[in-house]
Amino acid sequence: MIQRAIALATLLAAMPLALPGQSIRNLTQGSTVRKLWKPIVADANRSVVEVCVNERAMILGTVVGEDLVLTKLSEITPRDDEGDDEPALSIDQGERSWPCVQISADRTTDLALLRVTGASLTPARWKKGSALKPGSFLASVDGSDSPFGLGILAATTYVHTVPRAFLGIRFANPNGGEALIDDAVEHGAAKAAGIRGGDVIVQFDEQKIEDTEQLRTAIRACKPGDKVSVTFIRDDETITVELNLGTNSSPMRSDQESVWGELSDVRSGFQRVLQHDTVLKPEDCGGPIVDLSGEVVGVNVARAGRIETLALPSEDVQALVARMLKEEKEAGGER
Amino acid sequence: MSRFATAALAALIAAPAAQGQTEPAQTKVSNERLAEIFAGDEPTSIPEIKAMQAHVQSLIQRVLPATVSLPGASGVLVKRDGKPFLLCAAHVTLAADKEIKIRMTSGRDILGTSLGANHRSDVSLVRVDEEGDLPYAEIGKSSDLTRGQWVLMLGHPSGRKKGRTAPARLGRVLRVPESGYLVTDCTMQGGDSGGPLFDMQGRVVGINSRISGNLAMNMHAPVDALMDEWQELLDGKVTESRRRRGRSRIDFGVPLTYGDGCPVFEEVPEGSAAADAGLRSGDRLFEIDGDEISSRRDVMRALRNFKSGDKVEVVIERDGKGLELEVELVEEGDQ
Repeated sequence: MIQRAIALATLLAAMPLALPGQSIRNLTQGSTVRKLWKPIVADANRSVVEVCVNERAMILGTVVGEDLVLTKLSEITPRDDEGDDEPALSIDQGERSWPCVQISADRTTDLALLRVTGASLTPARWKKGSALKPGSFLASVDGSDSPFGLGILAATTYVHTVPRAFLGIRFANPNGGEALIDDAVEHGAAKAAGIRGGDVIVQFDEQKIEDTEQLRTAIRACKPGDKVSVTFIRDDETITVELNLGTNSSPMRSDQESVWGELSDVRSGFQRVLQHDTVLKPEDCGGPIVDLSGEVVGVNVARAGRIETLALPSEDVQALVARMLKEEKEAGGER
Repeated sequence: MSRFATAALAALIAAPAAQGQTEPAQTKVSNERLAEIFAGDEPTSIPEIKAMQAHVQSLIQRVLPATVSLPGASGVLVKRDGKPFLLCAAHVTLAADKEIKIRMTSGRDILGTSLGANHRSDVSLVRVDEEGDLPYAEIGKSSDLTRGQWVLMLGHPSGRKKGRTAPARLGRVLRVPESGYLVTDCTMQGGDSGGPLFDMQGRVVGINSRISGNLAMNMHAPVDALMDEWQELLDGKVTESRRRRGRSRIDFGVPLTYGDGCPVFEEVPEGSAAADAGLRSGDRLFEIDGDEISSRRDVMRALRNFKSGDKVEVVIERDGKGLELEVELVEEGDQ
């Protein structure tokens, strides 16, 4: 695999012409266009940092106060399999680095507020006034000279709702009684895990299931993509399978999930969002986006689909930070 | 393929560009220059980017009302012989004489009846059963498109969402085939199917059809395929896609040998279509339309959305050098 990667790199270097996708890329990637953006993004570049967990750069962060940085919560939170040790958080800007601590977290927007020790950072210059029009040109910055991602505002600001998690089953007793499966729907999570009609689900993760309603409630508490274990009885045999919950979308959609590539782990449950067409990697989230005025119009919060890059609008970011600081104060947090 | 008449384009663009913005920065850019950029050039100054932005913003407002959503898909309203129609994709409407529920951007619901569909070109026509004035888009000519030209795509990725207008995506034409699909880097996603691709004058030039794993591979049916068959579609003719014989598949018409790393075209006979496309015996296949290839499954995955007659761009290695070729696909057994 590594050999192949090297071979390919050599190959590309040797190629006289760029690849089709690169020779003409959308507005996002042209080098001429990037150059034009340089002076526009200069200010915002001073308000972006890299957030490191145990000295490893994980995600971008936006400076929201002299010693305050907002970043993507799920990207700095250790996963279950990474042990219980409290991770050491720090931020990098250019050659400099400062330690920091997490002082607040908001699960709905998946944002965390960090307080930086000993730094005097340049807070983002927020866009004020009228709402952005769809078609507005936007740049995502990461502290380097020119923007790393360009795109347009795709739609008006809207409320991003949470997609529900689905197991992909039809109950034989929809109105109550044991969780007997009538049918596992085509392309559903249950079917993929081998669950079929006639099976009786008796346990969902830690919870014993005695009634269809209990199972419904348990599924509702999950998010699409959550990994759960399901125990069912088939012909007196008890079988436990592990599966990832799906959504209620069409087979075409789930088929596409696989081609979307890397998406942010937590990408739903946001409130008001700006949707833009910039192609970002999950680790490129957390940083500011600016329009042609050079002012920050929002903070990238997730890559929600093949094309759905979502940002929290600047006024909502400011309101959130104010709320987080107020809560911290009320809780008597002294850092 | 006729090349763009820049002067004519300039005249057409003039109106929306002028009415959209009044800031002095925009007035410095002539409409002729703006037309030149949209015909495939890159902007070279900030006033030019601003002029582009102003045009894109006003264009989105102009084409949004005619862009509609269907359950899980999209479409565009047009007018012909004084009657309203919906242009859509064959894989959305599927068959004739079906009731089609259409939701307009205004939120108003109207009904239509599906007419013909061509599953080979993936275009279909829907009669709109509604009296009174409806918004509509002008129809353009896809044969007038040139590589590098800027285009605007609208649709409802992941289906319609409350409070969200159809997200717009700006991109450029990557490939204009003589037949088959139009490729742009306007990133699409499930739900965009059937939605319109506009030229920068707001004329429909394509219908959203399919995607591949590569973000830059977004395929649209050229609108000419629909217009050329207008009468047949109006009469309700449904053309099936080429039937697949047994397990026959789409490939290059010459054998590929799989081993470690990239597959090899062991034998490319002289006079074969593959040889005409530039393939030679011993060429190693690195990429298909931007997807890296190292196994039989990779090839199958990269080609699964194509039909016989479609062209793909491949990157091959020959004598240590990379080459980019365009190869026509055939159904296995056709040769």
